Amino acid sequence: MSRKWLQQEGPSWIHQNIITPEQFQRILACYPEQKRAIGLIPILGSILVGLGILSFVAANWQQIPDVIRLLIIGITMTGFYTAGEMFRRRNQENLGTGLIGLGLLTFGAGIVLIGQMFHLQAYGVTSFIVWGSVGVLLTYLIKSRYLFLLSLLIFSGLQWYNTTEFHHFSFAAFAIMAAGLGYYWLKRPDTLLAWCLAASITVQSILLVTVHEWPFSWFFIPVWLLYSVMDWSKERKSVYPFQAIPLVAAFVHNLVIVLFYTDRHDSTFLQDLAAQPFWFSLALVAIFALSLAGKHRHRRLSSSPDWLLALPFFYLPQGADAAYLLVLFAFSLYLLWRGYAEEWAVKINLGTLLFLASTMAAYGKLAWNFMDKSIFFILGGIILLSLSWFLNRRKKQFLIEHREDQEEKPHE
Amino acid sequence: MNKNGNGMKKKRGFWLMLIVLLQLLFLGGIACFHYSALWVGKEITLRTVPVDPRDQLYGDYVQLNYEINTAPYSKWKGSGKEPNSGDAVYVLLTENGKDGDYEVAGVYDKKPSRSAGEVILKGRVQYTDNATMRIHYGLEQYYVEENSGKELGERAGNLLVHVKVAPWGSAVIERIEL
Repeated sequence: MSRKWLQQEGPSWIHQNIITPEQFQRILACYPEQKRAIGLIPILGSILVGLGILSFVAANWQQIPDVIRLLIIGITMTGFYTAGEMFRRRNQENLGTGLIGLGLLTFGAGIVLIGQMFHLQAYGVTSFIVWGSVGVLLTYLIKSRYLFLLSLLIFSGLQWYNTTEFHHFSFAAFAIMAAGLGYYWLKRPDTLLAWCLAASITVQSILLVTVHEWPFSWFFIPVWLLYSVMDWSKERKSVYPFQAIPLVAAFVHNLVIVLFYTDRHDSTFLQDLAAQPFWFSLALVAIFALSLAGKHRHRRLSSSPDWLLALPFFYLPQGADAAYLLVLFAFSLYLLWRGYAEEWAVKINLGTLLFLASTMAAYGKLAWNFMDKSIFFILGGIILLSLSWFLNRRKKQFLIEHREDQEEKPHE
Repeated sequence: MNKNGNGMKKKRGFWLMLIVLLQLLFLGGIACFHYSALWVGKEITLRTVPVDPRDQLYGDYVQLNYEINTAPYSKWKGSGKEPNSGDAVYVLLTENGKDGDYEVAGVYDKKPSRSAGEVILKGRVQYTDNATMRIHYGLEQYYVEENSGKELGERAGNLLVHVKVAPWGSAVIERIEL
């Protein structure tokens, strides 16, 4: 809450005899001035100092003898960690955590620099996995969102590096990340962390499929598995990012087919995409059953239409794009409807976005060949503007009503 | 609460110290692993071959292209079919009689046995084409001081590189013969 606002409003409460002047002072004392902003400055400062040292050492690195280089790395790293812990003990949590994060980054830099000392170019990511694992351990120890995100970034980065550079997917790295950070998230749920973790898992599933040159639709399996596992969670809202990201991934997959495939082109587009039907269907049905069982158990079978997006129309000999287009519309409308019905802003926003995307895809698909291009863009823009105006108005109305509702009877 | 909080802080401090110590040990371990090759490794000579573009100086390192980076499929001695890009392989090197530099004797999927004059390098298949496998060993970059590797860069295609290989597979460039 804002201290400024409190200072403005407080005197009128005293005037109305709601609180005494002493109580007002005591309330005011609970909101020390500008604490948040001050908390950020030390982190920024520590980053700047770190970067400065880094660039200085990097510029003179080659002239420094090996042993001294090793010492510099070791001392810098230990220094950051020690200072971080010291500041945390003095209740400067943010600064302390920032420094510990720098310690972790120094460890990673140390791995690279030592390799460089011996003219060695990494041809695997084992040492980076150690780096990420240390990040996970620190996340548990310090219980910090910042270190969580840093570890997530290390694991995602190393997987990206591994697949693009070495054409190799590290299952070990994936397992350590999913188990380590996933378990931490279970213990301390957090929306931002959920979105980031879900996004990383989804992107890594895509890397897994592309690096092995498997038919692309196989990525449905890990992604829908993530979705289904979350159906077994008793909590609903906090795990929604783990379901929303898979849904968005499936949506985009279908959208790409709608945009880039037509029956008239006799292409192998869909064949390259389509996974081996028997095993794929079997796996998908098994995951579907798992999902339904979870939904049933927690009485939310109403969210089953999510699975519309998983329908494998890419096996159809004809009309796959039309079928997918229908699915896109059906799903985004369904999402919008559920959003309003469940009074859930995330679903409304996502539904709005996906509905606009479906509309534009349909419009592009149907109108591109039949219209003068300038009219195409003008009309498309007008459709988009009016739709977004309409949906936004609806959303605002809903949010206002919802807020009034809440003020009348604070539920949950 | 205070006593409890202090206890927790102490415990956290202990674990943090342990994790930091493990990181130091890990970094020291990598350094020792590579040093050990320089100390006890067997010295071999590897020949580089020209590539396009001729100048192989990239800022602070010179890209080296060894003869042993490419191996024909006839050298594949592993069980099963030829390796795919991304697979780890063991390459048996043997001394070439007249020049004294080392050449590929065989490429294996598991660590083969070797006789006295031979060494084994672990590598990773970068890519394959119709006739050859491209294998990287992690020895392909030689770091130089900025703005100083000009001569080396221009002669990168015709160098003799002295590498030390430890019996446990660690390999490090010792020096480059200009």
